[in-house]
This record gives sequence, C-alpha cells and structure tokens, in this order.
Amino acid sequence: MPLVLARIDDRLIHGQVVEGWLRVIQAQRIVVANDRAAADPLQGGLMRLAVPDEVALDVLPVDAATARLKENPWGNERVMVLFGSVADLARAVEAGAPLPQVNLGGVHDGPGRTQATPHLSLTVEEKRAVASLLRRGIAVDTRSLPTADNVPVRTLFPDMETA
Amino acid sequence: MIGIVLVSHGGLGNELLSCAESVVGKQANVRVLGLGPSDSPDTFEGRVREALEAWSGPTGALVLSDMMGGTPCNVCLRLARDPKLHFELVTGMNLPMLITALANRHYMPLAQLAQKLVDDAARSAQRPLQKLRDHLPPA
Repeated sequence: MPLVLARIDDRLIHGQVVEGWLRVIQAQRIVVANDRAAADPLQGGLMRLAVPDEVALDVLPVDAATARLKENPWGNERVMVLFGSVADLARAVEAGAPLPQVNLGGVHDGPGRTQATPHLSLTVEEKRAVASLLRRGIAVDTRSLPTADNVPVRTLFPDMETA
Repeated sequence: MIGIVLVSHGGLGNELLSCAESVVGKQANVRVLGLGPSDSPDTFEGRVREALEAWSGPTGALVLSDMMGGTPCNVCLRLARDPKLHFELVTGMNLPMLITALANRHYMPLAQLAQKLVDDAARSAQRPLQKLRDHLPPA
C-alpha cells in the first residue's frame, strides 16, 4: 500500500481534507482511525456523504486501524489515514503502525493549549508526544493544506524538547 | 488559467473567497466586487467592466454572481453585449461552487467549467438527514 498521507486533524473529514488534500495526493481510500466516529453510525454515515463516491472509506477504532495498517490489505491502493488527535496517532505508532511521516494538520485551540498557528495548538503532553515521534525518526509536516508552508514543528513549538 | 470575478451584494463575495481559500489555499487571479448600498448600477458596471477587460483574451473570465436577477447579475448581463469582453456568467454562487471553479479552472475550457458548476449545483443542496434516517433516533 502506498500510504500517501497520515494526518492528525481534529476535524477528521472536512473541506480541507476532501477539497484540499484528496485531489493533490490522489488517495483512493480514506481510513478514519477514531474510536468515537467508529462507534457512531450517524457520524460514519455523514462522513460517507462528504467523501466523493469513487473514494473508499473505512471508519475504524484506533486499534483496528492500527492492525489494518500493519497487515496492509490494500494492495496498490493509495491510502490516506486520518487520526483525530496526537494521542491517537502516538498510540498507533507505539503499537507498531508503520508511519514514516506524519502531517500535523489540525489540532485546534482550547484550554491548556499553546497556540502556534490558527490550526495548531498543542498541550504539554502533545508536545512531548510529537518530540517522541521525531526521536523515532518520523518526519512531521505542519501544513494545513498542501499549498501551505511546511514550517518545522520545532520552530512552531520551540519548547517541545523540554516540555 | 481562467480569471474569476465574484460579484455580489455587500461583502458576501469577499467572505466567500476567504472561506474558499481556507479550504483550498491562497488564490491568484480572482477579483471580488461588492455592490454597496450607495453604489449606482452604472458605477458598479464600470468596476465590473474594468475587471473583465483584464481577462478579455481567449481563456476568458468566469463571473459568479450571488443571485439571478440581482443588480450585480443584471450589470453583467448588460456587459455581455460588448463583443470585446469574453466571459461566462453563473448565478447562485456558493462555497462548493467556488471551490469547484478554483480547482478546475487551470485545465477546463470556460464554457465547460460554467456548465459543470450549474450541473453540480443541485448536489450542493441536499437533505442529509433524509439519507441518514436509519441512524437517527425515532422522532
């Protein structure tokens, strides 16, 4: 399987993903790795309506998606995997999901978060988790959209290593 | 690339472009013209004409207007009589329509793009709850 994008985005499937990324990376399948969405048929159904008919969609719990990523049953299909949080992706990596690079695409502001850009605000735990991804040799890209500048995550969160 | 002109009442066009750019990224070759409460049709026509003259070559311009029959649209209909201008006009602009226009204007000929926007428009107005009624709690 060419895993064309592994993205962290708390909005999961939305305009930036469908209109901004899908076309550019030409994904044929989207795997949403999210426990809450997988447990809610309504949310899963809404996602199906938002994705073009010709693109396959799986909405799976994080553990099931991780297992799927490891066994790689997709042949030559171009696959995009979406995680709803840094913690979920870190859990998948910890469990052996082979992700050579990660797009930190949307983690929006809230209490306890440091905002670096309109689309990226991280908690202390998330900064630690991202630093740990980098130490594992996983490249972290910070673009919300393919046309945006990829500002190094260490520049956005300079206190990351010491957080 | 086809130039795009958004004509609307008030600030609708600016806001629409800003929303579309948050989805598909910053865009070149887009002009936005809003009809203000004190603008006469003639003043507005002059501004639209100026925008269209910049894209009067063979590639042409695509004008999206907010409402069929509104002044921004009517002004464009008047301008259509000028053979020096080359544009297509599509009414009822909305966010998916603008995103589709931006995504396809690099390779699709003008008339084909305009027709696609009209053909796709019905799909932007849906009743998703009807399709999902099996998943919803009983009323």
